[in-house]
Amino acid sequence: MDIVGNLLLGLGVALSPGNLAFCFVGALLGTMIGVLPGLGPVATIAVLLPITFSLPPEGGLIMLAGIFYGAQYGGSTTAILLNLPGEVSSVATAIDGYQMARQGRGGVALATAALGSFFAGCVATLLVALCGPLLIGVAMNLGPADYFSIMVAGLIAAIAIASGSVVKAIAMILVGLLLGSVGIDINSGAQRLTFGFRELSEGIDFAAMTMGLFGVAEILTNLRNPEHREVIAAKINSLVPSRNDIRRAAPATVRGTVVGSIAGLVPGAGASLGAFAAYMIEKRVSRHPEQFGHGAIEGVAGPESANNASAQTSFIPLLSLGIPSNAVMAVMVGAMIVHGIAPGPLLMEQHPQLFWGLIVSMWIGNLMLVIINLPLIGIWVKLLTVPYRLMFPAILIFCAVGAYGMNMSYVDVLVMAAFGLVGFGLRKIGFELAPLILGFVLGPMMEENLRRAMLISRGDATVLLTRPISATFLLIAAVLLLMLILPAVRKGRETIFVEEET
Amino acid sequence: MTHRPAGKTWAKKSALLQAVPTDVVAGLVLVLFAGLSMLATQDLAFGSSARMGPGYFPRIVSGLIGLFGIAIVAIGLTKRRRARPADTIPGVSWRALLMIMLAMTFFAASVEHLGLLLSGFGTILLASLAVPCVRPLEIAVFSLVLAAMVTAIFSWGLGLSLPAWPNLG
Repeated sequence: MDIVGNLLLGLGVALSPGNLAFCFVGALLGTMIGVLPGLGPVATIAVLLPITFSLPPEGGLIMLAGIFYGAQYGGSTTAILLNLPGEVSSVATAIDGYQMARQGRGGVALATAALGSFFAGCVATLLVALCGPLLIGVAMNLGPADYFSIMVAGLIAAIAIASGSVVKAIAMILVGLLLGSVGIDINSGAQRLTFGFRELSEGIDFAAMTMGLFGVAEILTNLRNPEHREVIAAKINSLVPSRNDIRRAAPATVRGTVVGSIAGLVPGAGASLGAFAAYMIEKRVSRHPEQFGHGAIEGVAGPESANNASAQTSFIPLLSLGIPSNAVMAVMVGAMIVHGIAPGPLLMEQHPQLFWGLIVSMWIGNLMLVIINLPLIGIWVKLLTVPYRLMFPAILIFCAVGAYGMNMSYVDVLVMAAFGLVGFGLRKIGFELAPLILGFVLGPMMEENLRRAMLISRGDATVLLTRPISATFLLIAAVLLLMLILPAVRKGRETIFVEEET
Repeated sequence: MTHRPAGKTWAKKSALLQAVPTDVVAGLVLVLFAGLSMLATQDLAFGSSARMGPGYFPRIVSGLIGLFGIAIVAIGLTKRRRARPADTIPGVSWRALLMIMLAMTFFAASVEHLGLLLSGFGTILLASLAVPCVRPLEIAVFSLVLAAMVTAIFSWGLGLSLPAWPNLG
């Protein structure tokens, strides 16, 4: 089948009235929850996850894609209006976006973000459609050893992007790997780390854990702090960028799209790398670098397009290899598995409708965002002014009902509460939670592939180094790790992050 | 996050936590965790690298966690001399912690018997008390409205078989 045929097949799936509605509702809810301060994209998707469970797989996944884009865009909105980036990928946006908002140009910044993201989404969707099948051809020839090494490289790359201590981030990945091994071992049928609880024999429930770590823990963290938010959003007057704005933003959008698309392909790097790289590039090529940090529109257009392009192209490693490249993607994998779909090279062949439907619905999700967000910005701004003392009980009850509704089991609610406590404690002592989720999702896959690789090689660990693909990825992982640990590079990395905070 | 440091009424740091660098605590937590999981997996067959038993992967990962824990303790101890306030663990709002956990437990215990409307109402009410209660009436009305909304969305709207009303049978 050719690309056009594939995309048409996808359009047929995605444009069915039902699925279109799911996508719309998803994007709407995603934005609505995503703009709530203190709820990043991971938390947003986690909270909304249970809603999709009652839908058929296609509808559920399409709705998730909508939620995903809505959540990302919601994150950008809080980054611009409140200087509260929901996750690392919108940190770069906050630098100049917030300054624009303070100058009363928040509307222009939001419109630029939406339109830039849409452009990037269109280009990246085509790329996914083109590259996905190619990569699947490659993926078919990969052995278990290769998969294992790619995942190792992906995990290390994910740390390279994260802020904070490298050692602590690796430790969190390991904790995630261990938590992922809870439940019955598939090969031997032995109960592992279940401590005698029958409810845990199928493993820790992914959605309950994510909601606990990112929903409940977030609330506990925020409640310690007295309310302090500077809503400057009130003075949004115009959404329409001036001709000068367009002249400056358009090339930045194109550059951001290119940078972001490439960054998305790097397993583990994903959206954050793209956004930072785009910001740096814009600052370098600009004729007015001194305006950056003081409300330069390129500083919004570049990173926002890049972050959306990477979000899109990071579906390529996800759909073809089944390897999530960041915490958001990990949540998407978890959601797909709940729907009974294992992302990976077989997905396209076994479920072409779903595969192409999902790709096209990503594009439609992008379109929905432009349609929903530009007219509704006023409403989102109103939502920002809802006091937190009313917001957190709402988030909490939503999580509780969601956790319960998945299996009609009160145990899931308790698991969620427990992970809320754990997540809160871990954050208190300076651990980040995103690497944990990534490790949790990748854990079972890594163990399975390692086991198979070792079985084939009869216990000879050098197989990881003698297979060229595996060796290459392990080398990449080693180089990355070395770069992270070398103090000189670490210093450089810290300055990047200091710059953002100002 | 642009949140300001907590005021006095919100969190009281215990003197002990203030004296110990965060990384030392963090590392010790990891070591403890690794030890626990080592203990819990000791009955599982380790196997050989060619035929890994169910205990192989968890125990190797636990070992690594323990090593990282020790490394983090070491980092914390060397940093000790130039400890800044940011290096110590921030305080905890025990009230928030207690009420949120109470709310979750109440929901887990009651939803099957009381139905979503009543159980949800109680949960929201309990959760709202996590912060000092300024306007009791507002909280009561808000809880009722929110519970009704949640019931409408989940029980009726999404068609999940979540009972809305008490089930006394």
